[in-house]
Amino acid sequence: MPTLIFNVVGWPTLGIALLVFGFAPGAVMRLIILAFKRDDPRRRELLAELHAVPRVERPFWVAEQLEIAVFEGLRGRLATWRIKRKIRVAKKAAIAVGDAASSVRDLTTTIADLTPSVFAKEVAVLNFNRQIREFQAGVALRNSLTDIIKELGPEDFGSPPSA
Amino acid sequence: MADGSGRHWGYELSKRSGVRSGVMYPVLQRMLDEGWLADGWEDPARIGNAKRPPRRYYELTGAGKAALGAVIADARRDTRFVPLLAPQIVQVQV
Repeated sequence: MPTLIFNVVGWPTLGIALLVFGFAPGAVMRLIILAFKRDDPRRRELLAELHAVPRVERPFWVAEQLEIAVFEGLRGRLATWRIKRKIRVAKKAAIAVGDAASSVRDLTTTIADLTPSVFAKEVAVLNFNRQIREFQAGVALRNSLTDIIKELGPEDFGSPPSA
Repeated sequence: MADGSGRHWGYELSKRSGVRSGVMYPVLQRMLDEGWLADGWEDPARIGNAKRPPRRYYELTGAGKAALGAVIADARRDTRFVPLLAPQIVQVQV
């Protein structure tokens, strides 16, 4: 296993890693904890624990925290980002619905404002037309009856029944 | 967790149990979520002149003691775990 690591990593990389993690573990640790959410107590905890870790073990301990930060901190951040995104989308949808509702309300108000007059006009026109039709029909009937009566003679009515 | 009473730090627990810190902290978080542990911060007055921030401590709750006691009792009955159980682990206060 060590042979494999040395073959893959190489001395320069290992040297840089030791330099970074070994001589500046506090600085690296401060970068690592940024993966956790701002209100996550793990931030303070890991920084405080670093002081309890012996210097020899610090590079390895800090490297282990990097693993936690990637798998837990970033996952938490991703979950938070997803929730925020859903809220953002919901807000946009709410605004769109609000705009639509507002438009519908305006349209309804306009229609409501217009409806009585338009409706009244329609009703009046319909009524007038009906009355005209009825009047015309009545006049026609009366004229027809008058003509018929005029053509009839007294004999057509017959004699009144005798008592 | 061999000592059921008292306050413990994450690093200390990791060293005493032999569990990697990469595993220990998530486990502690899960136990906190389950209500088995309570956490708090070290009193700055107790740190004294040591230039370090206060550490986060963990202590077992009543529910945690009961739950861990049950787990250890189950493990003791299982022959596979008997060689792994150190005598002091059995002394967890339930």
